[in-house]
Amino acid sequence: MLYYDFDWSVLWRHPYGGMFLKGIWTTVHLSLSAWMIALLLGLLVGLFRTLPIRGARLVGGAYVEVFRNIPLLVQLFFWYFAAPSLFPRDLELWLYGNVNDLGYWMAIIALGTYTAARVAEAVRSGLLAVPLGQYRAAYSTGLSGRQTYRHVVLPYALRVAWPLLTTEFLTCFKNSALAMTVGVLETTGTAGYIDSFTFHGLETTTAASLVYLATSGAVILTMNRIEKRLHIPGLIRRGA
Amino acid sequence: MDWGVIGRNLEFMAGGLLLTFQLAGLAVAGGLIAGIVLGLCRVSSLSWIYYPASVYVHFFRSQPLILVIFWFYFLVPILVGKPLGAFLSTVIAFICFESAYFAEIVRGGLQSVSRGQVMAAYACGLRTLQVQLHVVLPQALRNMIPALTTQAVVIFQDTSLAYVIGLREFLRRVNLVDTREMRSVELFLFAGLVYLILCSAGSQLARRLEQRRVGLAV
Amino acid sequence: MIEIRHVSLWYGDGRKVVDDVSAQIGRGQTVVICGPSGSGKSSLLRCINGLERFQEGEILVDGISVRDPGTDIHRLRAEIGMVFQHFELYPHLTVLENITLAPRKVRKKSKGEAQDKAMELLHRVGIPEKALSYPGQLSGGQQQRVAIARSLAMEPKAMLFDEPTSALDPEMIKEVLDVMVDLARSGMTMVVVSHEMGFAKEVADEVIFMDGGRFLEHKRTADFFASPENPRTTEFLSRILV
Repeated sequence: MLYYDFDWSVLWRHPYGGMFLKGIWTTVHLSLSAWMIALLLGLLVGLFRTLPIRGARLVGGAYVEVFRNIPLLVQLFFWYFAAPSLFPRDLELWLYGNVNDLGYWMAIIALGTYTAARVAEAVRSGLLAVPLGQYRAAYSTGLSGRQTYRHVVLPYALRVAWPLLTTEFLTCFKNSALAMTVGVLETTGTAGYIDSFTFHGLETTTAASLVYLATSGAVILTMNRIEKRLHIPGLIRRGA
Repeated sequence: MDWGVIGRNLEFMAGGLLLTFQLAGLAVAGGLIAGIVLGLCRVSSLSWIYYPASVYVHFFRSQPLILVIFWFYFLVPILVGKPLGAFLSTVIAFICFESAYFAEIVRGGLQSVSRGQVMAAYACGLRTLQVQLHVVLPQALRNMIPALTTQAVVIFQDTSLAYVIGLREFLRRVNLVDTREMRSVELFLFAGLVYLILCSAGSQLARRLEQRRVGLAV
Repeated sequence: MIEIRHVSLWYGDGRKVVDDVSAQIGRGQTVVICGPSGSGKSSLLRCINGLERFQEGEILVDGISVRDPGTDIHRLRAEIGMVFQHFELYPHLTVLENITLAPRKVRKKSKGEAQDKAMELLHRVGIPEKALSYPGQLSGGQQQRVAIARSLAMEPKAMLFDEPTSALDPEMIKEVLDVMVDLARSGMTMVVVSHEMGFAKEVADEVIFMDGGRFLEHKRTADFFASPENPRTTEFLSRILV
């Protein structure tokens, strides 16, 4: 074993302690913002994939196929390095001139649109689990298509999809680490950043690991608790 | 647009793709073997086998891969006393990380085999490990093939993360070409297309296998 | 009340499920449709409230066409209740919420008003104590009675029953049939797909035997059982009346 001089104080010593906390906070709001996009877009795409309209299904299917089969990092690089030059020249110049944390915003877009494809798959599997009879029952009492989805189909489907959505949220949270490659100092990036000054990467990566471990644990516990509250007596849980 | 940039650097980038395939191949093979062992541990009724395996699986599943790659880059040299180089340390990181995901697929597969099969095997006088290895695992693996294929596609995509420690796989090389030629749009669209074609083919295969599996079960 | 004129229905694969059938069901009448499985009974029933689209013919409910694109199909459906073989209660809502959902969303009733009506109906089907239970906590017979109450909550002009007892254990069939008998006697217009010939004899005005998508026998109840003309009817009856 190589001699290694541990110095855990890099985790709290000025200025590194502050950097580290800021990194964690960045991970949190970066992944939550991306998750919002993913949830809205994913719900829409998942819905599209189950509609009895051929065009909608094709669009939804193509979205999922493209966004799932290209590595997130490639997508992120595309948004960060390539996309701005596809925008109108004025917008491109404005972006480079006025948005100094372009990496952060592009990471949100990339992570959000990427995760949306995975959310869509979860939503679709939930929607497919709703028996045809539920639609018929709702329509037969005169509910409109929108009311049927709002009050009968979606509540059912989202309960089925819940465990999958929890997993996808955590994946989104972990994937936010990729933002470091476009210069965002989130948790993982900060660990490497502090290492570049102090050469104490072992300590900082350990700390970062613990942050992810603790967050995962907390999220899983919370989601399980919510799932229990959403639990319906007698409804068989599918896909879990 | 200048699509000539692709042709001019095709050979260089293809070399990266070869490395990507090697890395993915090693990660799948190593991860699967380790995953089977871990998966068997995860269905064990012996707590000293079950708990360590579970802690391992849960730990790695909670970590971002990119961080695990860093870990091995920092940690392994300290443990073995000398730097391993980017490729070897990435391979080890991938095997350790992906085995946790394979383990869960294997566990699901093992649990999908009916209780009746297990009881029948015990009734023939087989021991626990024999039951798992000769009766349950072969059936489980057949059920798992679609999920394993999907995971292989995921790993193929994951290899792009080796970029962060400078391994010159496909994406790294695309990036290097970009720094030289400044043709981001063409290059990243090309990179995306290459991954899309390869991974779509893999996903398609997984879907086909799944349909066949369901077809056989009915 | 319900007028079926030369209705034909094909499925996508070209199979003809309903083949040129016609019938008139008057206000307050109860009609029972029986026949072997796959004979098109359930499909025909679904055509009546527009859950299934038929290619030929016409169905009028109170003079309003089901098929006419100008018809507000949701409003029409609100006037026709439907009870399903597998109950189809919404599993994520309580019994009370199941019953009040449509009255509140479609009829725009207030919560209190809808709940009063729901409780009244639960008394009528005999399980007021289950109001706050979830469907999964109820027996099949209880679920089906809730499903009937759910349909009645919309104060429909007619009720369609799609094999309401065939998914039930034998000991629960009677409690559901009792509710249906009451309903028929109270003057509700009912179309019932069922093999419960006892029920048919007791309250049906007419009985239809359907096979291969056609009405092979359509008679007043007494005549149907006393003097069936089609040999297939006789054969079918002898098989299910044993």
